Amino acid sequence: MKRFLIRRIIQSLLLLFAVMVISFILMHTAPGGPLRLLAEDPRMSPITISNIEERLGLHEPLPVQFVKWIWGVVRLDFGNSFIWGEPVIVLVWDAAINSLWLTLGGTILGLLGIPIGVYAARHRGKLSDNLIRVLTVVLNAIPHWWLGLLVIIMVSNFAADGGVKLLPLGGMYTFGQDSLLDRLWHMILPSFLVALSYIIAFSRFVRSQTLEVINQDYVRTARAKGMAEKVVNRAHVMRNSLIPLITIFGGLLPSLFGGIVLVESILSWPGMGTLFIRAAFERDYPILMGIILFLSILIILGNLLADLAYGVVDPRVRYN
Amino acid sequence: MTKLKKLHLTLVALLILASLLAACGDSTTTTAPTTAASTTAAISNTAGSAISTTAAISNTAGSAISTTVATAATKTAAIITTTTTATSAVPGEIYDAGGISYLDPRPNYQKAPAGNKGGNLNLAAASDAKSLHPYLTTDATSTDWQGFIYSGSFYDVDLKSGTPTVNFRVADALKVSADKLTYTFTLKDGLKWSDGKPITSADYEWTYKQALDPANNYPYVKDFTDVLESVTAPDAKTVVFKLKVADLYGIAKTGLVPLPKHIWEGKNWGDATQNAEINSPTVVSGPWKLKEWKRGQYITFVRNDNSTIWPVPQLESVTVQIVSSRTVQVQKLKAGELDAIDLNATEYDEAKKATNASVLEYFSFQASWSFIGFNFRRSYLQDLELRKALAYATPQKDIVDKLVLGLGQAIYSSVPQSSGLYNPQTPKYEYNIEKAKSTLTAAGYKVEGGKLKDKAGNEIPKLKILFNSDNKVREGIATVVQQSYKELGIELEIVPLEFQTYLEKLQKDPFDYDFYVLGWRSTVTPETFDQVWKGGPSLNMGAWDTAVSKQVLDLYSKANQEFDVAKRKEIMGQIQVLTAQDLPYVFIYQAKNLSGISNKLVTSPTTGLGVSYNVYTDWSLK
Repeated sequence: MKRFLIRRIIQSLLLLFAVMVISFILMHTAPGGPLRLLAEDPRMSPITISNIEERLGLHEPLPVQFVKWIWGVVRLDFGNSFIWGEPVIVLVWDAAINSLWLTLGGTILGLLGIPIGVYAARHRGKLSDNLIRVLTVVLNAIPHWWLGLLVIIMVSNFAADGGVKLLPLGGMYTFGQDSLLDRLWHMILPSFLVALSYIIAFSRFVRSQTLEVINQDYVRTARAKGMAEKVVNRAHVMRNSLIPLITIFGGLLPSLFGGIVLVESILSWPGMGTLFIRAAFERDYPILMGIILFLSILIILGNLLADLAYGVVDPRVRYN
Repeated sequence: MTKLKKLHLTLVALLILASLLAACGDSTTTTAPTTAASTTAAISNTAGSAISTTAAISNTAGSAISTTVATAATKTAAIITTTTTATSAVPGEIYDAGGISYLDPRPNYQKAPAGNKGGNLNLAAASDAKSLHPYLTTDATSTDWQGFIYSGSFYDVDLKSGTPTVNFRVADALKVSADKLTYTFTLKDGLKWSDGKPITSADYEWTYKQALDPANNYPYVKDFTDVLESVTAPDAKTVVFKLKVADLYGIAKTGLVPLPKHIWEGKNWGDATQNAEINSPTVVSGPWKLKEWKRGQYITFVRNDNSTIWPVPQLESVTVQIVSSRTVQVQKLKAGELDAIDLNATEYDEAKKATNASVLEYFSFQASWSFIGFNFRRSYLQDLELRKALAYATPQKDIVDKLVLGLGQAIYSSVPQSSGLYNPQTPKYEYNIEKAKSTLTAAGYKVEGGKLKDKAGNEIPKLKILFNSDNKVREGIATVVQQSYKELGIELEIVPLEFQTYLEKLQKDPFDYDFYVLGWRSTVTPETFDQVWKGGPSLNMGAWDTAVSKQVLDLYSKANQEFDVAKRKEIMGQIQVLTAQDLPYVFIYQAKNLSGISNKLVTSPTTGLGVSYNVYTDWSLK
């Protein structure tokens, strides 16, 4: 177990390094750059632009820039944002916490997908199963940010005609009145939109897993020996069909903090997605690298945790 | 069983389709082109004092941005109704606000309308500001917000003519030397910072020196170094500007706004982590003070009860929310969460439906206009007759009517019709495909096998037209001309590109394109557009460099030194004629500026700067 862990950690660090090198190269080879927009401005002199370039450290060769960045990371100094001049770690952390509010709410709602999946599997071919299947396909096909826009339009029409505002039109809280209740009210629409993808993914996954397990010999055996249907479901079907979900949960970790780019952008949620879009458009390299690093760590960590969790849940898996 | 299953599926599908259709209503049409694209809208650059700048590339052809542009333009704007010739400073003449009646603007300053003293105004910005430091940023939102808290520029925009004029809210008198190189301003009595300390000439001198210091990286330091010899403060009330050359807009270009020396001196100039005054200023000169800035979410200003340059605002506070989606901004206006927003042509219909708000329409002094640029590096495009034929084949009116729903007007040169310097005699190329064909025939061109050949028999190759893919209007223009140029035997390849990639293609070797669709946002001074033609490939992308362009540049430098309005107008008229004749661009249209304003507000009267030129000081709730 220990050896497995050490090996995985070394592998992960190498992987992380590779990801960062590739991201760094891709980012810098993309056309444009933080100074491109300044150069469009007739009021800017080339001297000023080259001064700014020097201040941002962009005048140095790429390998030097990268080594400097890595050296900073080792000392937990992630640099300052080109846009705001503030430490990357502060900006990314604030955004990650904001995203966490949203995605946590979304994930909890998303767990609804599990019972829905089990229900559909147990009523295979019936109207309810068909309803669930068609609904999940349709909702999967509709972009969720677009659905969010539709809801906003409906809410605002209703507010304009009926005078009652059912939901806030974006934002994280009412300015100046930040309370838990107010925040939860603001979370309803965005978390629902985030939850949709989870509900769809979970229900479809659980449905097919359950169907597979139901037809296993040991389930038939359990029934044959006269076990109550409830116990069969709980002890044999559910338990075995939920094991693969762990992989999905492992993958959830980064998306919890990563935010949902378009939903956040549409609903003015000041999370990682919004920050990422702004940084990408303005080529704010330190922020972009900071976000990519943060998310890569989470992805690697999530997968590692999922692997470890397998060992706990599934007696067939052992690490050596 | 399978039949039953199929029936189930069909039923369910129908049900969902019906419910979706019902949900969409008739609002769906307005929801299309938002999301990521809206973030780039901020790229179009309104610089610190719009008086000074030349045009900036605008990424959003149809954008109105009334609030943004107007405040950016007029950090210290005021209504001056009596004079349209304040800039024609006669050497040696003293402008005395108390003594010379026709120049005295004070009685004509807009009186604040009666309204409730109090209330909050809700505005929106598409993206967050970068900093509140007036000498660090170049983006529109930052400039806008800095205008809320800092005032004190000696120049202003005349709301009738749209030209720069003396800001008599700040200066009592201006003395111009005989050689037009020395400008001596006398500060008005009683100007105070928000902490009650007087605003003195030392603040101006100190701020100027800081901004000029190369170590402080003021992005627009060129405004100073190009024009100014020095800024000095011989006594507490006198500020003397010495110019290097007698430039008409020399001082206006500097747009110098003071920072409180008694607070800032000794603190770090540019690093917000070292100097809290940068992003949480405690002492200001503008009509508003910062209350709270929550990054990425909102900023709240409260009125400065010690405001002396501007009158104390009627409203209690202003909150600007960051709402990146324009569609959501319109919905927030409808639902009463926002009180005033800028609109694009695409949101016009939806905003019109709002029962609690009205749409304000005007043509701005600072026109956003669109054009198709030629790449003069291509030998075939150097032929004026071909360019003329292409201009005749461009359906300008159709583009305005169909692509921007009629919310625009034609332009014929770099001076828009909304400018006081517009020359109606400028040649126009109204759409006429027959005339386009006959122009080509007369110049010896022939169409053989559907392909255009020049008089030497060389076939015109397939030509490339570039534009940025997030701009639907530009895409529309490219598609429209693709069809109409085909009638002349010219085939176009349409190349949409991401904005930054697009600019790079236009400005760098190998310049692989023939046409590009782009827009400029002009400033209030069309006389300074020469900076674009002189700006090398980063601004003069298509390299317009002909015998006529040299003539035009000479005329521009004359115009910039001509202090007499009538003479300057004549020179500018010639420039328009020559530019239109030589066709560096196919000039297309100027977008109408649109704002959605809540009916519960009393705003300033509409001018060519919109309604927010007074930094919302005279706005109130009904």
